[in-house]
Order: sequence, then structure tokens, then C-alpha cells
Amino acid sequence: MCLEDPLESRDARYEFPRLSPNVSCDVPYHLDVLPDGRETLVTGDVKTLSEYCHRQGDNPFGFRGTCGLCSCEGIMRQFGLEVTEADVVAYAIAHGLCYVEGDSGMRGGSTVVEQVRILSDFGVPAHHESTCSLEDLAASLEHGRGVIVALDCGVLWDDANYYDGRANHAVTPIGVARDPETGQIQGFYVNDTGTGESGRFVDAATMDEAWVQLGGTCVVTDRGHLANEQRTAS
Amino acid sequence: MIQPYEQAAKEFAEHPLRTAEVPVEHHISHPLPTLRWARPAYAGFAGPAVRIPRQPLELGTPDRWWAIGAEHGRLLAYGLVSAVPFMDLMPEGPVTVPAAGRALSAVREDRRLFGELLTAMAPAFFAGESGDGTVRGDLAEILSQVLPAEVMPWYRGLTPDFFDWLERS
Repeated sequence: MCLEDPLESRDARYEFPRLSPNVSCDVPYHLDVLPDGRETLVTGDVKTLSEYCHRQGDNPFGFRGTCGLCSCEGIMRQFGLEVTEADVVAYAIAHGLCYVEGDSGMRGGSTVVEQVRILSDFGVPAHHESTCSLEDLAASLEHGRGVIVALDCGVLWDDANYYDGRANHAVTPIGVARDPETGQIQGFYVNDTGTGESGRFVDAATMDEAWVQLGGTCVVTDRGHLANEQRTAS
Repeated sequence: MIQPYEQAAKEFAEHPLRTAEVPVEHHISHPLPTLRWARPAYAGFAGPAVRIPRQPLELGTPDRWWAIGAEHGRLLAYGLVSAVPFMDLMPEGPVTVPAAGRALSAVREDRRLFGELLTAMAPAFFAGESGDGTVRGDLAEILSQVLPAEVMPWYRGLTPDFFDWLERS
């Protein structure tokens, strides 16, 4: 492996498909039942977007700290771009957009600003926001936007070993669950490359503690992604 | 007026430099009080980390540090260790923090108590006073539970004056 020239890697491409400029958004919704038996109204194509998640570390560079880069990959795939973790890591290395110091296993981290830059470079313009609320997050998802949130994985995984009380992990919410009667947010469906879990339901209280209370920082795309039919046809 | 610790810790962790400079995946230390820049400050460090579910936390050598004013929460200093090391002969990582086997709720409670005691005692530290010896002892005890022993040398290296004060007999 040659870190200095990742473009030499046979496992990572450098030419990427570009996003069509004419993207419309039609976010699907359906009635469902939560794991605890409550009825819910789910907004977002959770089933399809769940496919855009895998366990992080699937790259030829040995980088394991790639939750932010994998989240970028997932967002780009939501927008119909055929990219892999290896592609995104290679791009980030080549452009100085990820952490490359120290042991290879600890490399691959990215700042929120770097995630915005990567998405934008790949043709998915985005920006970052802070002090967001659950309603802000829900609104972004209900408008079909791609979102990456920075949260505490100790809370998300209910694991005290990783509890920092500070954001330390990036995940991709892909759907919102609301009470069909009151409209109250019940939780979110999340792709988590740390565990490799796709479309896991995370209740609103957990998201509040793990994300809102720790700054509510997120990366949001400037426009909505393709509806499933358009994605399939493109 | 010295801010309550919880507020200072929040401002430390959520400072705008975090989004621009510090990878999301980095481990960020607890900020501790210090007068090493001749004014009341809370300082902490950050470094790479590996978090794999059901495996111990691995922390790399800190690669940066920053300090905020204890009174106003504004940034006082930020440095990369490669350019501005915060201690001589920094112990090299990575270090493995063994799982303590504790419930999240118990860890939360320790953090809450840690914050309460620091809020109570930080003004005495910044004023150059000893403060209540019993409370200082309680703070030292909870500190040893909240900060893993494996990373204690880095904490001591960044805020040596605080530990000198804490362990004063």
C-alpha cells in the first residue's frame, strides 16, 4: 500500500460519476409498528436507504476510524453515486481531507468541515449545522435531504466504555418515526457503520441525549435525494 | 466569575474549532482547571481513537490540545502537539482502556458528581487557595474514577498545577 499515492491503488477509483443536476424529491411514508409495538408513521425510504450501510474499515489502507467517510459514502449512494468506502478514503487521503497520522488503524477520521467538502466535491453540495433539534433533523429527512450526525456512540450503543459525553461518532439517519395521532417524534432510523447495523430504530430520548444535548452538530445536503424510482431508473 | 464546570466542559467540547479542526472520531479529554497560561482556564487534549463494539477503547497519543477561559469560555490557546507539545517526554500511545463493566447510568452519575465538585472547588484553585480539604479529597477520589489510569499521565502533563493543588496535603 502506498499512502503517498492512493490513486495507484487498484481497489480505489479516482473517476466518479457526477450527480444529475435535475433531481426531484418525493419522500415516501408509510404506517408501521415500532419494535415496542407502538404504531408509527415512518417518513423516508428506510428499506432502500438501509442498503447503503456496511461495517466501516472496508478499505485497502487499513484505516478503521472512517465513520465520517463511510457516512459520506452512504449519503452519496443515496444520491445515486456508485462509490465505495475505498473510493472515498482514497479521495480524502489524496486531498488532505482525513486524519492520516499515527497507526493505520487509528487513521481515517474526518472533521465536519471535511465531510462537507468531500460531499460537495463529489457533486452533493452540503453544509454543516449546529445546535439542531430533533424537529430540525426530522424536517431535513422529511425533505429528502441526506444527513450525517455527530453523536456519542456510548449513548447510542448503551456502552459505558465509549461514553464520552461528547460527540465521538458519525452516523446517518435515514428516516423519522412520528406518532400517527399527535405527530410527536418517536425516533429515527439510523445507518451505523460502527456496528454495521442498517436502519436501526433509535428512540427520540436516546437521540436527544446522544446528539442534541451534545451540540446537535450535523452535515446536511443542500437538496433532497432521488426518490427510489428515479434512483433505479438513473 | 468562574463558570460552572458543566457549562465550561460543554463550551470546551463544542467550540467551533471542533467542527473545523478536530475529527469527529477523536477522543476528547475532560477539560481540567489550570493557570499555566497565567489566567483561569480549562484545558484538555484530543487524539485518535478506535471504538469497536464489545472491544476495549483504544486511544492514540494526543495530537492536539486547547484551552478556554474559565470565566468567559472563549478560546485562549490551541496547538498541535507536533508544533507545540504540552509536556516533555510525552508517553506514547496507543493505550487500551479496559472495560470497567459498569452501567452507563453509573458512569453518568460519576460525571455529574465530578462536575459538581469541580464547580465547587475550581474557584479556590484559581484563587490560589487550598479550599476545603475534605471536598478536595472527594474530588481527587472521583477524579481517579472518571479518568482512566491509562491516560492519567497525559492529564498530568497538561495541567500539572491542578494536580499539585489537588494532592496538596
